[in-house]
This record gives sequence, C-alpha cells and structure tokens, in this order.
Amino acid sequence: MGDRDRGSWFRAPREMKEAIDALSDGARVLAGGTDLVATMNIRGERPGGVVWIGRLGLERIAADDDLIRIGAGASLATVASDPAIRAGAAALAAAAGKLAGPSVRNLATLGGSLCAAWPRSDVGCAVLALDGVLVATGRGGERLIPMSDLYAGPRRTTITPDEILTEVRIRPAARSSFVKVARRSSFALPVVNAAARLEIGQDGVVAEAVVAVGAGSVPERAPSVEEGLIGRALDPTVAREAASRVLEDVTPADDEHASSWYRSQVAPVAVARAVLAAGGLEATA
Amino acid sequence: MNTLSFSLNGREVEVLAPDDVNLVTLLRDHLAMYGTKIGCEQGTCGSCTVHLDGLPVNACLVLAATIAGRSVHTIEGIGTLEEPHPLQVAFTEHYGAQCGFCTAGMLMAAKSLLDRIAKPTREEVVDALSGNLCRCTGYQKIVESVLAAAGSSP
Repeated sequence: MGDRDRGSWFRAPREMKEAIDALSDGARVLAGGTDLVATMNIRGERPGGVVWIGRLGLERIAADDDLIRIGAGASLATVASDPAIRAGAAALAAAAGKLAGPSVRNLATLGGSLCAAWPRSDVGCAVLALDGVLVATGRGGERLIPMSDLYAGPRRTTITPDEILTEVRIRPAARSSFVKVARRSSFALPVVNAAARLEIGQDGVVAEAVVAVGAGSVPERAPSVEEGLIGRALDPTVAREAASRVLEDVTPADDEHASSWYRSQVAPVAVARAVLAAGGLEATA
Repeated sequence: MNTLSFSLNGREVEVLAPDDVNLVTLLRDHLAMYGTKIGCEQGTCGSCTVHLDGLPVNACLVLAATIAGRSVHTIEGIGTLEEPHPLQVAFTEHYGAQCGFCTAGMLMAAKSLLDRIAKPTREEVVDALSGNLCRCTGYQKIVESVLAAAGSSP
C-alpha cells in the first residue's frame, strides 16, 4: 500500500508542491522525529496533521569550491562524517557529531535541529559562525534566510508554518571550529558553546573572524571578540584577550543547566578555545 | 487505522495500526514483540534501540507510519535460545546484564558497532553505547562483554 493511500493525518509527499499544500490546518513538518515525536510522546498531544518530508530527496549534499549545499534532510550522523563538510565546514561537522547520541544522530536532521531552535543550539552556533544561508521553500518559491535571521527566540524561528527549510548553504572555510561545554559528553544540552571561523594571511595576521557563542537564549555573534582578533597575529594571548570581551556581546542565561555566573566564567574560555582551534593552535576535545 | 507494510527481521509484515503511534508501540502493542523496551520515550535512554535501514535508532522517536517499505531489525532477529548471537553469549558470560531492561537496546547498539568495526577499541565501544543508559552495571561489564564478543582484549 502506497503513501498516497494513507489517511490524511499522516502524509508522505514525494513532490515539494504537495508538501507545501499539505502544510495547512495545523499540520506540522516531520523530519527526523527526534523533536516532534518526542513531544508527542511526553505530552500525548497530536498536531492537526503531519507532513513527513523524508520522501522529498532532501538528504543530498553537494559541494564545489564555492559552496557546500546541505539538504535539510541530511542526518546529523551524515553531516558529522561527510568529507566535504569536514573539510569546508569543520565547525558544523563537529557540532553535529557531538549532539545527543549516536542513535539520535541517525534520525535527527540538520534542518530539524535548526528549526527546533533549542536554546544555544549546537548546530545553530556552528552555522552562524560559518555565515550559513538557509533556503526556506513555500508557496512563493524559495526564500533565502541568513542564519543570523533564523531565530526569533528560543524554540521560535522566522520560518513560517507553511514553509519548509530545504537547504543549508555554506561557503567552504579552511579554518573553523566548534567547542561545546556540557555536563557530560553525550546527551547533554550545552552549558555554553562557541564556534569560530578565521581567515589568516601568510603573515599570520587574522584577516577575517566570525565568532558565534551560545551562552544566552540563542546562539549569537560576538562582534567585540571578532574586532579583537582582526588585524592581529593570532597567539594564545591575543585569543584570550579577545575572548574575554565576549560578555560585552552576550548576556549569559540562568537556567537549570547552569547559572549565569557559571556561564560568564566559562564563555570566555570556550570562545578562546574555539578561536585557537580554528587557528590551528589548539586541538578541540 | 491503516495497513503498514515493512520488512521486520528480514520478513515482510503487514500490520493494521493507527497512524500516530511510534515504532516501539507498534512493535509491542500491535505485533506482540516485547523484546524492545519502552524507557524514557524521549530518545535519551536507548532502551528501545532497533535498526532502521541498517542504522541504530530510537524506536520511540520514529513515527511508525514513516517505516512503510523500509527495513527494521529488532532484538528478536539477532539470535535464538538455541543459537544466540556472540554478543548475547558474551553478555551472559561477562555479566553484561543485571536487571535486563537496557539489554536489548545495548545489544542492538553494540551489534551495529560490530557490524561496522569487527575489532573496536574500548573507546569506540563506549562511544557506540553512549546513547544507552544502564542503571545497574556501571557500564564496565557491558563494555567488557562487547569487547569479548569482538575478541578484543578488555
């Protein structure tokens, strides 16, 4: 029995137009299920309908010298191990590989993890540092959303309920890194995370720096840290000095995972490590 | 209710089930296969680990309707009382199970590792089992069991 014959609560469209049309009357997008199905399990609530996007061919990853295009349906396990992403978007590969545990990473998708918009999202932090651009597909066609515009707050995004996040585009970067501080190495939401992308000239001077940190409610850019790096020769002292400015850019959150005081102590250390790792001066764990 | 067709432990099955159940509920309540356990239903304990298209996943997070035409392997498919899987033998010989609630998930996670890497290091075993909670053993005996099944020194 084919998907077409299934009841209308659950739909598994094979065409994008069919998927967009189905996203009405409270139907929700289902990708890997690690967020939506978990919520259904614990609350016992059902959305008005479910549109599973696993049959739309959104898993593809294509890369050339100028752009890495990651289908939003690619699993976090695939993102963590894909050679093009490891080479050109190392921060994202690392973030995907540290999220939850192996069996969740086989289900969870990059698009779903971004749209779930958990506070201090690991992949969100990495994509922000990599200056990623998201493709949202809706009735009017494709809309490009810079990663810096995705979050409307914790658990809220600027993608509308009748749009589907279909692709993540990242310009390949030779130097990027991701650092996560959590209570344990698997199945722990981050206390703090940080990601950095650097361009360093032949003279060892930082030409470009993008630093993202998750210490508040959502991942944020840290422009004061970036300013402290650009034009200087990277070494541990420069990295730590620049990273110490991170509290000018973010207000650490206070919640059940950590106090704001603790986050204010950890954030500069995590940022310094990410910067040094991106510069090839320190290995990340 | 809808009829769902998929491959279960290598055999084609058809089952009538509501669209909104998850895979572990489908297995237990609609197919009477009780080997896979329901733990947290949040994807954090690993007790419901099964293989979907060859990869270990948390069956509680899989909407059953999405498995149409796909392949599922459960603990019932990896060995029998007469012919247990080497992992099952190792778990009994090395005290890898105490209360047994996590064991099916541990075995499925471990089998996936050994299918990929015949002789894993201790670190690889710990990483492969990092999504599976055990409240009895303290994990050492489980890790030793997996290493023993692979013929690696613990």
